[in-house]
Amino acid sequence: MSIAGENQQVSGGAVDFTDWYAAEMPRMAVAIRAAVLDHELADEAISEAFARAWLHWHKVKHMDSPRGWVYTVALNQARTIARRTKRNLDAIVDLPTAMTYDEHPSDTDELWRAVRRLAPQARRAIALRYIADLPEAEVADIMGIARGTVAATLHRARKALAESLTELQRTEPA
Amino acid sequence: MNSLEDRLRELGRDATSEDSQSLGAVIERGRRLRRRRMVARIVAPVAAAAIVAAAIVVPVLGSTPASTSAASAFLVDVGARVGERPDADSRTASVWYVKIKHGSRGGVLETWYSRVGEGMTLKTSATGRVTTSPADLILVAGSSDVTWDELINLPTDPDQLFAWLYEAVGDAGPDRLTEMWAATWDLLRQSPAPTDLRRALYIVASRLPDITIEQNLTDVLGRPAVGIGHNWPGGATRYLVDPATGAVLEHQELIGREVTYRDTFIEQGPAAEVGVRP
Repeated sequence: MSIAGENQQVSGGAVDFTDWYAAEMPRMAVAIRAAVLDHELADEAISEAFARAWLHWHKVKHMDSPRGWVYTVALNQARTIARRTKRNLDAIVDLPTAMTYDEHPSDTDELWRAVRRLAPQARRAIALRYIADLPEAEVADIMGIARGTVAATLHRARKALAESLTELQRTEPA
Repeated sequence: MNSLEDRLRELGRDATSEDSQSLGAVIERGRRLRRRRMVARIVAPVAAAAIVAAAIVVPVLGSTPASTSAASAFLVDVGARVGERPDADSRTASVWYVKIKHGSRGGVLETWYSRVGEGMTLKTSATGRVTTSPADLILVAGSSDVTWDELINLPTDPDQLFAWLYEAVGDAGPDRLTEMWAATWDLLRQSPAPTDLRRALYIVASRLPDITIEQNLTDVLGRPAVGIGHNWPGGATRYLVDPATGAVLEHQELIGREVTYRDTFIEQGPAAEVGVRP
């Protein structure tokens, strides 16, 4: 395997691509799948984003936020792929195990169900701000909206999530 | 009770390498991107490259760590067992069919590569969703693409093949021999490489450094296999090979001892036409 250019040391000797990838990829995969409900499409976009990060690692590693750059590329890629393949970013077509329905759902299952019910913009804000744990300013940059809009979107999203969770708990069989 | 924000953050923190994708696959994708961006890079004609002096081999290998003798011996031995594909099949076939199970819980990819026209990939996801997309046979040797016609005309003398690969990989990788290892398996695992070429590729692989071997493994379908690996910082790429036939059964990416990605080669061979299973 051509495992090479990815092992260039980040300045300061902090991490190389391999370490950075191992640290960032799992969380990003979950966050982007939450932001883009089409699981296959999300995975394709993430793969492309990290491939580009590898290709340009000599530049990406010096950015203020390599992580933010990859999220931006991944979401842009998701839109591009969706347009090209005439698919809906927000269609639930292939959910990962942690997001599937269960007869006796756990609190986590219910939370995933509630996240999926959110409007696309709200869901993306939640995915980036909390699941990816990015700062609000970075979420604004990635989504291309004002920071105040992110804050307002998150506020409404949290309210909707709380209502949704209450409703789900009320309707669950005892 | 955790706050809603904390619970949402836990969804991300709970992500594990199971949620991840293969580093190797991502890097391969990056390599494809890089190749697409290379301008006016001329692929050396196969016939000319094949006559590059095999004398290159000795000084290169003389300065690198050797693979374990067991790994080298296995590759030579299994190369001699390759014979499940009569030459005529891939040399005269016009369509090559490959069926792959993607990941442990993922779907199945069936691809028909066409020698002259457009091929097709039919993807059946784990949930039964079926999608199709066009497919082209893209084989990679470092910074060079290898077409079907070029593939079946590659030298089958191991020394000449080694010399050709050495030239073909160019400066694509960290070092030529690591990139040659990648290229060798690119040409072996999912390709209409004829029998004599596959035998020669195994001999080339046996001469490359830093290769490891693990006996008594099974692929995700339970088929017995021997693992041939190449380590890199933090992980490894490993191919599971059928010791009886030399067929490549599975491509794995590992972080530590954990398999984080796998493609299992269920079936491959000539097909009558695109969309028709053998």
